[in-house]
Amino acid sequence: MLNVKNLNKSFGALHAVRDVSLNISGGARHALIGPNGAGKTTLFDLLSGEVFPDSGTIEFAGQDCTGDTSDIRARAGIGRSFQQNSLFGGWTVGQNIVTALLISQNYGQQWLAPLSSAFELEAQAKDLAEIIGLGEYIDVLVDQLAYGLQRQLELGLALATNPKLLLLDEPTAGMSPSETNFMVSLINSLPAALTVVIVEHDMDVVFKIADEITVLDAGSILFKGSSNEVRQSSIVQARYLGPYFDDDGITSRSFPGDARTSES
Amino acid sequence: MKITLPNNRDMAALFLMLIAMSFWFFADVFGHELLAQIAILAILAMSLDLLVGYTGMVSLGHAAFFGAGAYATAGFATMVDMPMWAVIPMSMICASGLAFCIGIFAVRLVGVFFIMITLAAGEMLHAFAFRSRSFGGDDGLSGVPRLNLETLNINLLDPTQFSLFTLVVAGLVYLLNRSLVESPAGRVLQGIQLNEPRMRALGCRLMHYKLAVFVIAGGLAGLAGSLTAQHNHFVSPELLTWTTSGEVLIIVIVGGIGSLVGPAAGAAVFVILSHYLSGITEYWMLFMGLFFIVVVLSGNEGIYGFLRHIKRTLENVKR
Repeated sequence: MLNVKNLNKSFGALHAVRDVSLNISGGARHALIGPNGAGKTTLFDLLSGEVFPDSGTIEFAGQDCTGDTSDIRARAGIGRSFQQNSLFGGWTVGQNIVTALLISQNYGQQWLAPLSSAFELEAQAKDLAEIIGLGEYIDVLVDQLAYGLQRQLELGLALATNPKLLLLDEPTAGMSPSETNFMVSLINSLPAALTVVIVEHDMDVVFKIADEITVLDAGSILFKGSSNEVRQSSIVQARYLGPYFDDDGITSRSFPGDARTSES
Repeated sequence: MKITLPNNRDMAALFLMLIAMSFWFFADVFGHELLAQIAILAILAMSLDLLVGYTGMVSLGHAAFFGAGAYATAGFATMVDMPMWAVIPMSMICASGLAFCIGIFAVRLVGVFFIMITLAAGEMLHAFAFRSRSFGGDDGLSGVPRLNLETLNINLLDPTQFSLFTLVVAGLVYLLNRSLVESPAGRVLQGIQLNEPRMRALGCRLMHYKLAVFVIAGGLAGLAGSLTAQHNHFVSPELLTWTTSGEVLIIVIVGGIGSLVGPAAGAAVFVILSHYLSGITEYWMLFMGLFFIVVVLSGNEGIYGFLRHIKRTLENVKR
């Protein structure tokens, strides 16, 4: 599904991503973890096409997309959510979703037909709103939604493009425990064929969602494996998880020093 | 679920048209000249509103397309002797073509850089028209005829009938623009205005939409230019100056961006103020400027927003 080879990206003297290679197969639930400044967000931006690598290749669904801009990749089937909510303020939940559907289903080419001619999107928007738990908020302005609900819509807009690969940038950032639980069950209820790559600080969330984990450190891959292997890996434990495990498993929710929403 | 965006635009447009029509009934010859000027300026302002109010592209070079339409009309009519029914669409095509050539570069830029490239392109065209011998240099071109509608028993050389003609065209342009902004593509444009990064992440071909609306707005500005050339019977480089662009932008903002009716009302206010105030004081632009400042400070919703506010207050009083 996603094949990344020897990716490098520097910002001036900062070597943000060093020689990263990843192979993510279809239907995988893959988490990228690591402390602040490990290069997670840069790697994410490289995958979605917000920034371009200095060297290395990105292959998606068998096609090289290293030089493609983010909108081309989106059309190829890479959907993403943003770490900071990026919605259409001033519009309702329904209007937000319909707009996303308009793009992904190529209704945007119609310049003279009234919007109501796209009425079949209304039903689709309702269905999607139900799926992301916003069924009853469909006519509410997004600015009036609670933060957690906005976060659900953020995921919903990414889903509206019907992606093959979903990139989620800290989907539970800033959420309350109950909102976090809902988001986790939401992500776990996504179709099994959908490939999900998630950046997350909350280790509870990571272990609940991901079946494979890549640990990044200072821009390069420190460890790659299934979530059990990561849990048991001595090197990962020593560097990150160690002090935060007791005999029962996890006791701490995040990496040391991570202000969960501060990384940018 | 309501997927369309709420607006009372059509009611306001009808109201504005009724005012214009009652004015048309009682106006003298000079009143009809003003009315035609308002209608033409309203077309220009509505075309700019497509860019500024619905896509978030603040252009300071809109006069280039207005002037291109005017010069094309003058050129085709006086140099080539093309019949006027063909001249008008040709002028729009020329203005659209120019918009395409400028837009192909301009839509890649955002914010102040977009403003600068549109400004520069407009000034280049002005400099060309000002210097060009074949286009009359700073004297411009005169002897532009008006569209001949004798077969319909309409004589456009009569100010009464010409002003009615321009009002009808302005009404049609309003209807066209309204269906554009309420189409699926119009929704995409408004999405670009609200949140460009999100639209890109959704897979939107931003450049296509921006270029398309730039070309459409250019064509409509060209129509306004063609009408103004016919109205005045002559064209001059002044039509192409960046102050013309600036004035239209002010009209759009004063009228209320993103409402179509607002810019049309703004055009009426601008023409009427400039006529009556300039009779009273030489400093009439000062008052226009003060008015502009008040509008911007009071939340940027312009005349349209002000009227909507009044309407809402009245509705609340009734309850």
